[in-house]
Amino acid sequence: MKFTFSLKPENFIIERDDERCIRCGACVQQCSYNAHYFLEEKNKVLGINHNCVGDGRCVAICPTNAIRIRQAENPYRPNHNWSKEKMMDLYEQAENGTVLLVGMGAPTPHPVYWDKIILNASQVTNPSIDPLREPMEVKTYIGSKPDKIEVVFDNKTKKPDIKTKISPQLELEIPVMFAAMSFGAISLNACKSLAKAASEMGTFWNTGEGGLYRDLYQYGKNTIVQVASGRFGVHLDYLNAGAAVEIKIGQGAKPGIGGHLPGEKVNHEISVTRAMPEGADAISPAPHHDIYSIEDLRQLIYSIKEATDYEKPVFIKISAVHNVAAIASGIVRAGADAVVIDGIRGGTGAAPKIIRDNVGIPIELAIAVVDERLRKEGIRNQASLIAAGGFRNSSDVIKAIALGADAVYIGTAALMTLGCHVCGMCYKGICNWGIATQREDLTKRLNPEIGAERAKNLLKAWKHEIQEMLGAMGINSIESLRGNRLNLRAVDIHEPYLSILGIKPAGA
Amino acid sequence: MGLLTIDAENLYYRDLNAKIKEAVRKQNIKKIIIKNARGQRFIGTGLQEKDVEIIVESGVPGNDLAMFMDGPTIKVLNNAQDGIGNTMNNGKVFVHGDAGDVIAYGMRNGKIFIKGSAGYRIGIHMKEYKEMIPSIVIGGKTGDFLGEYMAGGIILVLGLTKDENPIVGRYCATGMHGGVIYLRTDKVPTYLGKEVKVFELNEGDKAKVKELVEEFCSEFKEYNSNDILNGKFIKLIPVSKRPYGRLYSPGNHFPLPEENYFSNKKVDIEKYYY
Amino acid sequence: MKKLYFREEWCVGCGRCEVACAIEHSESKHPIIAYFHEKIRQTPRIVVERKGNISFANTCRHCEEPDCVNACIAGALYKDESGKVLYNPNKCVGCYSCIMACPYGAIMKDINRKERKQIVKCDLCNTRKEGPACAEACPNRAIIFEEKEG
Repeated sequence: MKFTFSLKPENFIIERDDERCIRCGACVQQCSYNAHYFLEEKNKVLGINHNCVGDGRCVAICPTNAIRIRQAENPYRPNHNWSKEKMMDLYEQAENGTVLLVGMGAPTPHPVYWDKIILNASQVTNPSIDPLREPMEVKTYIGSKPDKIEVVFDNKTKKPDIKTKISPQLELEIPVMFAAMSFGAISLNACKSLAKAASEMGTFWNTGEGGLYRDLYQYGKNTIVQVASGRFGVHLDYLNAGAAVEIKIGQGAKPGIGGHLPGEKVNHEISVTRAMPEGADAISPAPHHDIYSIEDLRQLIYSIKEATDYEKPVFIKISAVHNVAAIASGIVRAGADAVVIDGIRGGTGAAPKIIRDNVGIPIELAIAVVDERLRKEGIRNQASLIAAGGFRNSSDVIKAIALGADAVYIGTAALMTLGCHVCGMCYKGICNWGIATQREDLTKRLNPEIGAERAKNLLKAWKHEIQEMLGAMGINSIESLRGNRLNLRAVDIHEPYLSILGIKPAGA
Repeated sequence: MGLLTIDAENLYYRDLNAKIKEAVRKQNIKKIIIKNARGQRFIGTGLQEKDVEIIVESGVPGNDLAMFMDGPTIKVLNNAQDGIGNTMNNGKVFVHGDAGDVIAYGMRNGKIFIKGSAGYRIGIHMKEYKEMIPSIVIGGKTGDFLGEYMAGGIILVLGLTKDENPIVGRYCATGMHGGVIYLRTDKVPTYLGKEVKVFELNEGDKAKVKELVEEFCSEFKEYNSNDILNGKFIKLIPVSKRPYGRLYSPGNHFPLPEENYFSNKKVDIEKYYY
Repeated sequence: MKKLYFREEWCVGCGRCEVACAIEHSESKHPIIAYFHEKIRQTPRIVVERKGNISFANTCRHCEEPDCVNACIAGALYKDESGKVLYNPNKCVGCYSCIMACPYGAIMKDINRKERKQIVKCDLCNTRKEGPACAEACPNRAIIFEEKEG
C-alpha cells in the first residue's frame, strides 16, 4: 500500500450500478491501469478513480452495462485563468520536476474552421448528380504533374499516345490515406490492421519512422515508407519495398523537436525492425543532420530517387508553422513529388504537452495559404498537396480538397476504428485497446481481422459520403473540386481569416 | 573481363550513376574506374552487389558518396566531399585524402577509412544490431559534434596529421547512448558530451583497434601499423543506454501483470444463491 | 456441422462468454434476473482457463466419437442427427461417469442444483436462432462458429 502524499485530484469517476453488477470481474481483469478491484469480504467490485483514464474499456466489456464513467467536476474555485487542467499540470511538475508528456492531438479550444465552413449544393439550373445512378470519379493521383503534355499519334494506327515522360504517381481509389504511425508507437497488430485495410480499399498506409516489419513487406504495394531523422530501419530493401518514400522533417504534434521512444517500449520485434539493441531509447534528433539548407533537402530527395532508380515518388512531410507557404514553395522547387502538411491537431504517441498545445497552426489555414502561394508562383502542378491533422469525417476531407489539398491523411480517425477512445495516455505504453502498447497480453486484444474490417468500413462509408457531397454540388469528378473555393462559404469567420482561407461569407 | 572505365568529364551525375548501375546490374562488370570525377553526387547509391569495386582515380566525387550503399567497395584516390556513407548498409569506402562533414550519418554496417581529416558531425546516430557493427577510421582530426547521438558502431580517430588542431572538436559524443569511440591521444577532449565517460582500453578493445588499424594501413601504405598501435589510446563509452530516462514524467511503462481477481480463484457461486 | 472453434491467440480472458452462456441457459434470459433472482443459478457450460498471459475458453468439442456418450450408463447423453452431443437430464442417474470420461474436462457438475445430481455441458445453443451465445459475446473473435473440414 503506497502512502505518497499527492495534490493531484481525479479526472474521472467510475460509477457502478450495483444492481446490475454480476461480479463477473471482467472489468478488474481488463483494466491495465488497475482502476477496478474486487473486495472479497464485501463481495463488491470497487473503483479507484485516480487510476481511471477514461478509455472506456470496462464500459464496453461489461456484459450487463453496469459501469458508467463520468468526468470529475472541477474541485477548485472556478477561475478562467487557472483551469483545473493548468493547476494539475503545475502540481505534477512540482512533484516530479519533469517535462509533461501527452499522447494524441492538441485538444485546445482554437477554432475548428471545418465546423464553420459549409458546402454548396446545386439546384434549378445547375442540376445535382445522383451518385447511385451516374458515374462519380473519386480516384486521385498523387505525384508531380508535368507543365504540359505532348501528344503524338501513331502513324499507322492513328492512336494517340503521350510523349511527355510522366513522373511516378500513386493511384488512390479514395483521397484518404492512413497517416504515419510508427511501429513502436503503435502495436504490430494495429499496423497489420491498417496495412490490410489500405490494401483492400486501394489506398495507402504509412510506416512512420519505425521501419517496416518483415511480415508487412507483403503489403509493400500499398505502403509509403518513411525516412525520419533517426533513419530507423532504413536500407535499400526498405526503400524499394514501398510504393513511395516520405521524408519526415516535422510533424504537427511536435514541430521543431525530435522523436523519443522510451527504452521500455523497445522489445524484440521493434529492435529487429529498427536495428537497435533492445531496451535502449530510440531517439530521433530534431533536424536531419544532413539537411541544413534547402539545397541539402534537394540533395536528400535526389539521393533517395537515385537509390530507388527514380521509380517512386518522394514526399516531404512538414508541420504547419508560420511561413508554411514559403517553406512549401521551397520544398516543391527542391524536387519533391508531394508536400505533406501536418497541422496542430495532428496526433502523436508521446510529445511534450507544452509543445503539442502551443506550436503549429490549424491545417485549414495552412492548406489555403500553401495552395494559394503555389498557384501564384505557377508551380502548383509540380507537387501534390496532402493535408493531415485532426480530420474527423468525410466533410472535413471534402472541405480540405476544396481548399486545395489533393488528398488527406487520417491518423486519430484510423486508430479510432481500431477502438481508440482518445484518452491520450499512449505514452504510458499500456493502452487497454492494444493499440499504443507492446505488451503481449494487451496487443492480443486487437485482432487484425476485426481491425482491418472496421478501418475498411470507415473508408467505404466516407467514399460514399464524398460521392454524395460531390453529386449534391453538381460535380462528377473530384478533380473539379480541387482548389475550387467557390463551392465553400463561411459562417462566423471574420477577417483576416476569411481572406486567408480565400472563401466568401455565407449569403455573399 | 568485367572492367569498365568511365570518363566523368562533363557527365551529369544522373547519367554517370545510370552508367554504373547498368554496368553492374546488366553487364556483370565487377570493377569500374572513374576518371575526372567532377563532383558528381550519389556515386554508389542503390548498389547491392558485394563483389563490385569502384575506383575514383582522378577528380573529386561529389556529396553523398556511397549513400544507402549496400555491398560494394569504393576507393577514392583523392579528397572527397560531405555525406560519405550516409545511411550506408554494407560495403567499404577508402578515401586517400580529406573528407567533408556529416560522414556516416545513420550508418548501419560497413566500414569507412579516411586517410586525412574530416569535418563536423561525423558518425551521427550510427547504429548497430547484432553482427551489424559499422566502423569509421579517420587518420587525421575531426571537427565538432563527433559521434553525436551515437547508438552503436565504432569510431576510431588517429590524429596522425601534423597540424595544431586538437584531435576532435567540441561537444564530442553529446547524446551518445550506444557504440564506442576510440581516440589516439592522451588528452581528454574539452567540452566532452556529458553522456560519456573516459576509460582505458581493455584486451577486447585493443583487438578491435588493431584489426581496424591494420586494415587502414594495408590501404594507406604510407602509414605503419606498429607505429600507430604503439601510441596512447582512450575510449569513450556512454554511461547510460537511456540518457533521457529521467527527463520525462513517469508513466506506467510495462508494469508487471499483478495478481488480481482471477489469478487463482474461481467465482464462488454458492454465495449468490438466493 | 458447424462447431465452436477457439483461438487462444485472440482470447483476452474477459469472461463474457461464461456470462453469456449462463444468461442464455437461464429461464428469464435477463442478466439481472438470471444472476440474482432465479431459483437455480445457471452454471456456465464454457469455462475460461487462465494462466499468466495465456487464456482460452474450454467447452465441449462435440466429438465424432464421444467418450462421454460411450461412458453414459443411462443413455442420457446422445449424438443427434446433426452431430451435436446433447444431454437429456430426465434419464440422468447422476453417476458422473461422463465427467471422468471426457478428455477435455468439458462436462461439469451442476453444482447449483441441490435436489439431484446433474451435469451441464454445451449444447451449441440448440434453441437459439442466432447460434451460440458465447461466440456472439466474444469481443475479439476468439470463439468462432463455423464449418471446418477434418
